Order: sequence, then C-alpha cells, then structure tokens
Amino acid sequence: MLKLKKALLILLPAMLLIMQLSSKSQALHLTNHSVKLSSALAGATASHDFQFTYPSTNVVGSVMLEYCAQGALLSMTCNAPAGLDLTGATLTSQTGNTGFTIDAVNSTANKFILTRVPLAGVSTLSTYNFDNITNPSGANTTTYVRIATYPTTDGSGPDNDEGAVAFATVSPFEVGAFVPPFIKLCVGITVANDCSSASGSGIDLGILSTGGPKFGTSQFAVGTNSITGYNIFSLGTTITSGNNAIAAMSTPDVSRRGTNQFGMNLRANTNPAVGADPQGGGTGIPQTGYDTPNTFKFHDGDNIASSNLPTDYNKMTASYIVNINSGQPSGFYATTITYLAVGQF
Amino acid sequence: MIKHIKTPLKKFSQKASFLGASLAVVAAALAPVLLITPQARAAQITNRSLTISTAVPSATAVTYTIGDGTTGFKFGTSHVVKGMKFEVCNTAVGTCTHPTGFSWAASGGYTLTNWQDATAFTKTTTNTNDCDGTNVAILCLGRGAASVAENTSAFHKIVITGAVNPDNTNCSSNPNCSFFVRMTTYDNSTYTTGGGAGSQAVDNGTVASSTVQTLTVNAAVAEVLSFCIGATTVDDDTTSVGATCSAVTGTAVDLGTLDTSTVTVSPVSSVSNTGNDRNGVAMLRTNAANGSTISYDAIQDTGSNQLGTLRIPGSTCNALDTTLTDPCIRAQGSGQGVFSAGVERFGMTIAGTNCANATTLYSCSYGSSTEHLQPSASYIGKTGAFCATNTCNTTGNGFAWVQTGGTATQIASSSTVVADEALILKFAATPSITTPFGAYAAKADFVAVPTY
Repeated sequence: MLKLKKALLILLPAMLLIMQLSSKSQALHLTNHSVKLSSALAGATASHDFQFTYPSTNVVGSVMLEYCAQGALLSMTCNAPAGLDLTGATLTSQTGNTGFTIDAVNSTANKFILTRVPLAGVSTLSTYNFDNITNPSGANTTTYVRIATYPTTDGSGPDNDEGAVAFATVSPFEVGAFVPPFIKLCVGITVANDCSSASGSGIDLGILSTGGPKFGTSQFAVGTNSITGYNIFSLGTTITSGNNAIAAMSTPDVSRRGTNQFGMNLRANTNPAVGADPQGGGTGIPQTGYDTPNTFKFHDGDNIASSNLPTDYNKMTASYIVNINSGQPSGFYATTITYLAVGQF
Repeated sequence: MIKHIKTPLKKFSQKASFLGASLAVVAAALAPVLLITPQARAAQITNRSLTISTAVPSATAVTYTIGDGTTGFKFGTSHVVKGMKFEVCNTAVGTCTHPTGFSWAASGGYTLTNWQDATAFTKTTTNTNDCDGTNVAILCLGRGAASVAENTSAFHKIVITGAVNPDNTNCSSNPNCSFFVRMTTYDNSTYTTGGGAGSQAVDNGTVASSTVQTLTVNAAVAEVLSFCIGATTVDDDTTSVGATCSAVTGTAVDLGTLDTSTVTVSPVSSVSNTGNDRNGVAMLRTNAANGSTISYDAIQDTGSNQLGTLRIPGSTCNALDTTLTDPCIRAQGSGQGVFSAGVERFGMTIAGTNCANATTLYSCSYGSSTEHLQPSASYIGKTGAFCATNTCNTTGNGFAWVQTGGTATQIASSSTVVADEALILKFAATPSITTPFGAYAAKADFVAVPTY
C-alpha cells in the first residue's frame, strides 16, 4: 500500500504533465488571421484592423490581443514594444463573433482583452477594428500580436484557440527632387513650340528694291517658371553695309515703298503678307510697337515680348521688312539680331 | 528533509525497493515478455511471442502475430491441433479478467505459417465447452478436418487480423498498460478437455504485450514577418540588395534636378545630376501561407491641395491638379502611364522583383514570372522583364501614383510564403516649364499585410 502511494506520488506529476500537454494540444489554431494598419509609420497614430477565423465553436467569453516585441508564441515571454500605446484605443467595429467590448480592467498598454457574455463561438471569419492606437516607435521592426480566445470573460485560464499576426513599422519613405528656375528661350528660322528643336540662323532677303519691301521671318519660343514672368529684348543694329545703313524704324510705322526702312513685328501681317501671330498656351504677348499687324519697328534693346506670369511656351514669329529709296548705295547689307530673355526669380 | 538526514539508509532502502518495483513495471510495459502458465497437465508452448501492429490503446483493425515470423513458437507436444483458444487477460496467471475494450469480434485472417497441417481455422462464435466464443475477449478457432500432427521442432506462426486493442481503463487511464494472451491447443474442434486422446487440451502458453501512450513530438513554427523599406543602388533583379532587412538602409530617393527636357527616373546620378544613385526597395520575408500584400499610402503634407504628391513642403496648391503653375507636380493617379518630358507628372513603378535572396529556397526569377511577390496591375514597370535605368518609361508601362491619402494602394502581392524578395521601386518625375522652382518632396507609408 505504501509502495502504491509512493508510486502514485511519482507517477502523478508525469500524468499531470501528460494531461497538460494533451490539454494544450487541444487549442486549435486560428486561420486566415491578419492585421492591417492604416499607417505603418513608427510612432504614428493608426487604426489596426484584425481578422481571423475561429476554428471551433467553443464558448468564447473573451479574446486577448497581446502585442509583443518578440515571438509569436503564447508560451514565450512577451515584452511590450517600445512606444506602443493601446490605452486610448477604441473598438470601432466588429463582425462575425461579436458583442465584445474592451475590458478596461484587464487590458494594458500592450494588451487588449475583449470581453462579452460567454457564448458559443461561430466558426467564421471575424473582424475587430481599433482606432487611435499609437504604433511602436521602432522603425523597420516587427511587432507580433498574440491572439487567443477564452471561455472566461477576462482572458484567464486555458485558451480555446490561438494564433498570432505580425506587422512591421517603418520610416516614412521620401522622394526628393529639385526644380530649378527655368527660363527657356530658343531662336531659329524655325523652332518647335516647346523649344524641343530649332533650326536655321540666317535669312536672305534677296535683292532690295525701291518697288516694295523685302521681308523674311525667324522664330523664337520662350517659357518660364519665374513668378514674374519674362521680358524678351531684341539687341542689334539696323541693317548695314560698311558705312551705309538703312534707317531703322525707330517709331512704329507701316511699310512705305521707296523709303529707307528696317523694322520688325511679331504679328501676322497682310501688307506685306508675312509673319504669324503668337502660338502656344502661354501668356506671353508682343509688346507695344511690335504687336500691331502691318506696323513695324526696330530699336536696339527694345522689349519686344513679355509675360508677367509663369508661362508655358509661346512661339513667336518675327517678321523683318526692308524698304529702300533710290539713293541707297549698293552693297551687301546685313545685321545680327540677338534675343535676350530676362526673368526674375 | 530532516527525516531524510536522520534515516538515510532506511530511506534509500525503501527507495531502492520501490525503484526496483517500478523498473519491473516499466520493463513489463515496454517489452513483450515470455511468461509461462503453470498448468501441470499440459505441455508448454515454447518460443512464444506476440507482435501487434499498433500499441495504441483502443486501436482498431490491429494485427496480432503470434510467433515472430523468424523462429515462431514450438508446440510442447506433437499432436493434431484441431482447436485453439486465445483468451486475453489482465494477468498472465490466475483468474482471467478481460481487459476493457479488447475485442476479437472483428478478427479474421488466421493465416498459418510453417504448420504441418495447413487446414484453415475458422472462428467458433458459440460458447462451446472450454471456449466461450461469445466473449469478445476469447477467440475460439477450430478445424475439424485437420489430420496431420504438428511437430515440436518446427517454428509455427499464426496471424490474426481485426483485433481491437484494450483501452487503458484497467491501468487507471495510464496508456502504458500490459495485457496477456493465454493460448490453449486442443486435439478436438469442440474444445473438449479432460478426456483421453481426441478429447483434451494439449498445450498452452501465455504471451504478453502492452499498449503504450502515443509519443507525440510537437514543434511550433511561429508567424514570421520581416518587412522594410529603404534605398538601394541595385538596378536589376539578380543582385542582392542585402541578405535581410537589417542590411537595407536609407529612407530616401533623390531624383536630383528636374528638367523639362527629360523624364527623370531613379536611380539618378549624383555625379551628372544631383541625385543619390538610388532606387527604392521594399523587402518582404514571411511564412504567411495565405498570402501577403504590400501597399502604400501617400503621406499628406501640410499646406493645401494635392498633399500627397511631389510638392514643395507646406505650400498651397490648386485643387485642380491640371494647374501647372502651382508648386505641386501632378501625380499620375491610379492609372499607369508613360511620361512625356515637360508634361508635369510624378509617379512610381516596380521595375521588377529582386529574387537574389530567394533562389536558394525556391525557384524565383522575375523574368520567368516565378517570383512569389508579384507587382500589381498599374505598377508593373515592364511586362515580362526588369526595366533598368529609364526603360520603365521608354519601353515599359510607365508609372502611377495615388496622392490622396487615407486608403492604401496595393502595389504587390503574394499568394504564398516569401523569402526576402525585394521590390525595386522606381520613381519618376518631369516638370512643366511653369512648375515653380524649389525643393520638392513626396512621402509614402508602406504597409505589408501578411495573412497567416
């Protein structure tokens, strides 16, 4: 009898261990479990939306959601993630197995205990959404949330079902770029509306005559991101041949046959038929003296076009006319005109 | 404790005695044991053994092999065996108490090996003389047609199928529970005993066995997640961006100085431009078998309007993103598109999934579409191939960027586990001629959601 008692004393712990192991193995594993954060930024205030499927129909009176810095297993020690704070969180919605509220007594800064009147669980996908959670403060770190359901209302005793989910907190990812001040001007005989191409640099007006004007065109396009826009200046002298010059049109005037004239404008003209009005979606416009069809002018350094806003490209066509009188000395007449764009940044 | 010190020898003696008893119990539980039933008028069956196909308590359809198949058992008396009884008991000797749960009811087979008379046995299910065939713990086998005597030198074997093991009730629920099969042979098929030749039990013997607890090896594989976002100089799908997330660093991609004449795509040279030579990277490791997603949410800047796009921080932009004079570069939106130089746009795409870390674990090649982490529609930089440098724009599908905050936009997903696969993220921007000058920035919050 004494030996039997002693045998029981020795065997009992082993049997209890077996029973405990057996009991533990009966906890089923949650399926389809995940947590979705509205923001994964370290330290951010975020919503955490949990979902999982109850694997059994055991009576459920509480659900534990415990946030741990390491390890997903319930058997492991749980260290609260630094910076995490659940104390201000609210349970905003729930589906599936419902009727839970946050157990304020048993919940902590890193653990929710959801409690309800014990009811048989439903083996279905359930969701629990929380707002106003302060994420852990560590970037590029993983936080595990251990989940367990209990028949008790306070998360005590053996659990029914268990599982874990994980999320990672990250730093905000930044993309940087610098937009420089732009004032883009291109000049040529022909240019693209957006300055993507330009070609030609000389105009041959042919043989000048007293019988009517000789004319030709060039183009420029301009745009800027200057908040005050741009001004385009034409720089150069009138057309000359050695010491002989054809007078520039210092004041706006129409083309006059037999009169020495060198001028330009930025409009579509009919007399003579040359030029084109400004093109493009920008706000640039020709300036006074250069903005009237059939009226021409040339003065070194004149502001011939401008915009007072940031503007998309405008392509402008410069029309040049030359008239001479009968006394104009023969020769090879030429000039070089430079366009200058100025913006304020 | 004091008592133990005072009487150590006595205690040791008691303990040793008990230990011996315990060892005896354990030995009996673990190994088939030869036990001899002392019946004076019958010869012993020798070389007996019992092998059961499973020792799990209450197991069904268990095969009992008497005789080990190599040597078998030997009859103690040469005789014509016309009947056999196999009675299962809690003890080897004495009154037989049948173990709870045991049953021969569904038994069958009765296959004989190396018997001199191969006439098959059939089960007797009636209570006949010395053998109660109605008791599920007693198996009565008869073969009245047998005529050849079994000798005492041959090794015999009989295989019985369909038994049900005892449960562990008789051992106080301890699954390690011994039981015994008592065997008797008859020279008649009516299990008659006590008469002369032709009417008697001849040989007997007992074999022992035990049910045992099922040894279960448990191990837990915990849920795993490692997710990080960073910057990398890697611009292909085969060069490792770092073995793990701990090797992924950086939090920014610098597109350098933008110009209307070009679409700037990361990585942007720090030498010829003012970039930082880096793409973005998002690396994921998880054992979530139900899949994972990676999403981003544009972080909303201060200021007003277009708060999640590439913008001068804190500035006021127009509510209409088509306005090209405000300090916000127009986000491409959810629909992917190729950018044209000078047509203000900002976006992101996935050049491909870098498989360098995963190939040792499973087949993973972005070009072969065997990667687990696959870019989502609208974020596939180039169909079927990694798009390096600026080819996501020149020969690829272009970029997308959802600048509105609050709802994450999925950019990649996996339907199974992922081993440190890395998304190579490319960012692109081009300003319009009117885009105000200044330093622009966009920020994003990347989220991984594994479903276990």
